[in-house]
Amino acid sequence: MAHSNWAEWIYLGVVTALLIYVGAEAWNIERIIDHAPEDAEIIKVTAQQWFWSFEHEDGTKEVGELHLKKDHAYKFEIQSKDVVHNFNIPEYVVLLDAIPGRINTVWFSPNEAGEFDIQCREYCGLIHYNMRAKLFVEDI
Amino acid sequence: MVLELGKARPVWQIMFSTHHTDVGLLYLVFSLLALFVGGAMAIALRVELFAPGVQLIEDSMTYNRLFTAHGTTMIFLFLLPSATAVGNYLVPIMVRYKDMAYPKLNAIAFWMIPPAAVLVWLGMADFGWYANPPYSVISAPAPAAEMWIFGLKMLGVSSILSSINFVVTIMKCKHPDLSLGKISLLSWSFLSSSIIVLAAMPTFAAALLMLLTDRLGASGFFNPAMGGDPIAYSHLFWFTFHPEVYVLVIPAIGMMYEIIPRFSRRPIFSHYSGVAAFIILAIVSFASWAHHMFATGMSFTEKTVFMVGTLAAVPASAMHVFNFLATMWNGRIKFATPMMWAVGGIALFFAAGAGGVVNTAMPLDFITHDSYWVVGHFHLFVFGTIAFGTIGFVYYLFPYITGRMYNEKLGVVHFILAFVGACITFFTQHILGLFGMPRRVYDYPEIDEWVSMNALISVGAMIILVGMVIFLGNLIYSSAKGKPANLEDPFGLGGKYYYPFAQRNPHHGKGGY
Amino acid sequence: MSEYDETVWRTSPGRVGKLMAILGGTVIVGTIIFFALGDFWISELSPAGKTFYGITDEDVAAPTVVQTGEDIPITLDFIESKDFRTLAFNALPGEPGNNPTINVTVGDRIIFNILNAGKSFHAFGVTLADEGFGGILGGTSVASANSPLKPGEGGTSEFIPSEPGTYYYICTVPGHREMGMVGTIIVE
Repeated sequence: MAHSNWAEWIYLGVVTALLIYVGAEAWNIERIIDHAPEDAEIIKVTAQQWFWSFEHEDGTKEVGELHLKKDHAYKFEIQSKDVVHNFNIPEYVVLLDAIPGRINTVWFSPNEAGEFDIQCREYCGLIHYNMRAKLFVEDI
Repeated sequence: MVLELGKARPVWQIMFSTHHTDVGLLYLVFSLLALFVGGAMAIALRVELFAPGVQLIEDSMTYNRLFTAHGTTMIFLFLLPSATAVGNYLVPIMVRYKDMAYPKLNAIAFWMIPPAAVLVWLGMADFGWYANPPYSVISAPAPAAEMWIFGLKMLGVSSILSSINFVVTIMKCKHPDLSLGKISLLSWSFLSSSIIVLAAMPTFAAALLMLLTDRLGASGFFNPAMGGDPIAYSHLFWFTFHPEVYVLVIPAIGMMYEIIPRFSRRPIFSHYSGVAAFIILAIVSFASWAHHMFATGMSFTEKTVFMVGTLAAVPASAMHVFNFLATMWNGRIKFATPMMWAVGGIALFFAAGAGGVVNTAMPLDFITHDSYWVVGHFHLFVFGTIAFGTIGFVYYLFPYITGRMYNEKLGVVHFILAFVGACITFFTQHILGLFGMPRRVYDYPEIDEWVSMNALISVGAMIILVGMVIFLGNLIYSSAKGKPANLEDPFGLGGKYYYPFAQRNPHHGKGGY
Repeated sequence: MSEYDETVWRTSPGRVGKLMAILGGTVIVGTIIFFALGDFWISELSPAGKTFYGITDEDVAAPTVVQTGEDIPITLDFIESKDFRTLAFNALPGEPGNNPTINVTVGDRIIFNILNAGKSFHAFGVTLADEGFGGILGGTSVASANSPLKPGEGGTSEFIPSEPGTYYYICTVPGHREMGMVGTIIVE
């Protein structure tokens, strides 16, 4: 076709530049948050149909609720006893699959005291919709 | 019916025919049936989710089966067959050949679909349309799960057979005077989507077989209790189904390439851009599958690779959008029903793609993964783009198939209801996802924002329902008693069309095409 | 150029009627078949699932015991706390009647009247195991974990202990015992 399409090339250039920006920024942020700090306290999270149980470093066990301290770093070692679940604290953007046969880790440091929801974010059967727990962050 | 050789024939003759227009008609009728069945399931889901507590569905098992059946029906029984319908009707005509390359295979590929649908609909498995293990291996009840697996096996084979047919028809049976670069963009869309299917589908066929043997206890591919890895299934599944979503979208874009230039009364801005974009999309679609798996505990490097692969496919889609807009620019646009659907489809396609860029930015995926954001995002693609393009094309083909015109006013009303309903439903779902609501949930706690948004979304779904009922009525009534259409120019665009009605096929001589 | 000079044949009401009859008829027949067989489609677990959950086709066979004592009817309702994180029989922890302890003698026949008064799914059984959901004694189960009682459903079962000791009545849905649905039966 004998018509010029410089407009198309400019448009593609703009789109590609935007995508490169998004990609680079995402890469950078993910790189920074990918590693847990060394002094993070380890919390073992066990997912099973259809409830959450937790174990602190000192052996304390909790079922259906989790008590943590504000401004402390915590690393969750997440495992599952049966099917794939997903450990999610939406208000702190903590989200990672609980896969039987392996342990996934994710970390966070809650910077606000209060009560937060823990939910399951991967379909796991009958009571997936109610596989919930409560996170209590205390100011100590 | 008009496109079927211009002569009335008994219904059973159409059902046993192998002619491409007949098989196309069978695919079309079946896919529209599946659209309404799947739509009814969606309405049941949205009524239940209107408020916390029980509205319609007494137990979560039934709900889980319904959303699985809804997804499976819409993707495999509506979107894929409706694309194949359009391809069957038009591709042989567009490449100036008398039929598809393998007419009997064509009919077989169609007739595998109804039995598969029976298996899926009678069983109504409950593991979501992904069938993720270990749930689908150890926890999903039988025989529903096995029925689903066998049904999908058949659907996969059907897809592969019709893809072989398209590729051979387009590449080998096209008219000698027609070069590959010059065939219509609709034909290009079928060529590229068929090649994707041939490359991607066998992986899923393997995964299904492995899932079945795992369920029987004979193997432990995905069952950790037998030493397997559930994530292996995710890789196999998404290796097929990420390219597969492009298989779904590409024919719809091809259909828009038919409608938009015609109704803008201008030639397409750049035919070769369209061809290039289809080819690039087909190749790059294979580079992004694990963006569905960012939350499984992949390493940083793996996630980066797939993020880049996903982003790489965006410029090709952007090329299509530019092509459409540049074609419409300075055109004498006639906003008949098909054109409205095509333009609405482009707008929602753009919005869907923008949401997708958010999902692929790694850290942001941890906000949106498996939440209603994802539900809104993919529905903007499958409903907002593909269904819009397909429905618009159904309106476009309607006079050619039935010889009658549909009711234009009702078509416009349908479009407005569907567009407004889609915006209310699916954009709100994006926001609901940002507020943390997970997907595939039968019920939800009484969080204020969730309650109000869910109610709004259900209202939006009802608006779409009203539009679809009007559509059904329009289709049925107009095919029986609609105004006879002027087959040379049903939409009053002026000028001549080179197909589908008046094209002379050199193989057929006078009176046929 | 268009030179189509043959008669154009258009769809007619009769044709459309036939099409709707075929499609509508198929859908109706299919729906009837689906509902007629009810829960058959989801009635079993896969072989791999049965292995995983340790569900064999029969409960632990109890020796046939002859009743030598009295009939003791016990009503147990499955209930849940509002936030679904605490489950119990009859009353929540802290309230009177929570997980009542049943005291009987060897040979008595306990008749369980079970009702699902909650919103979730439950099932009932008596076991000797002091944790977990396995080892359900034959004849004591009402529904099962993979075919549980829906809200409002109920059933009866009985238990005639032949040996003294401590037994547990539990909800057999995995996890529910840990969340509070367990009570003791002390047999003397």
